[in-house]
Amino acid sequence: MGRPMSLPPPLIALAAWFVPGLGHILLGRTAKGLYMGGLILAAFGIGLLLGQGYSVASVKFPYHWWGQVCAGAPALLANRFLGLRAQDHTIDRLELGVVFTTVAGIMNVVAIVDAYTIARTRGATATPGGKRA
Amino acid sequence: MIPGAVGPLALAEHLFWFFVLSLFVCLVYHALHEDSVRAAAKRGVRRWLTFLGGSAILAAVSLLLAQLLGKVF
Repeated sequence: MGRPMSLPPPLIALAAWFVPGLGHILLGRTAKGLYMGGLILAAFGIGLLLGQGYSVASVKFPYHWWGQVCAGAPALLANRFLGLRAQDHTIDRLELGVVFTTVAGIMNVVAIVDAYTIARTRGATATPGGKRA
Repeated sequence: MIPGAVGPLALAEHLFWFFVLSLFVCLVYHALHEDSVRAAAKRGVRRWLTFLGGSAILAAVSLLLAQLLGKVF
């Protein structure tokens, strides 16, 4: 277990959103952060591969984008550099790719909430008497 | 058209990716409740196998019902 950083919970949540697993890593739960982040990024990567990079496109899939963007920087980068390209051929597995990337984003929401809760609980127990702030 | 296909893909491929995605969901779910990565992975895989078993039973019952109903109507 790494050394935990005393950052405010909203900042931990922001870090957890931007890079999946980073919230837990900053809280000192390095193995858990790497494990969860790795799983989320793997699911996101499989989705990108299935859709040949076109599965994360805010213009083409605006509703799915709300789920995908929860994966943070990977989704923003994929949208900017892959999703906005003109698609000139049919991709059989595009829908599968959209589902994988969207579910990856939603799984990151769960990881963000977990990291935020841990940070908040830790902050609360750090107050005198161990009572919630 | 591929026989038994859903869209341009075969049903078997859809099922394969569905089970792959469900594995990720099971693993992340158990990672939330366990501090040890090894324990989380073990529980996640066990939950996923249970899910596979349950899905297989549901599929078998659905097929049986479809065949029975096909004979009636």
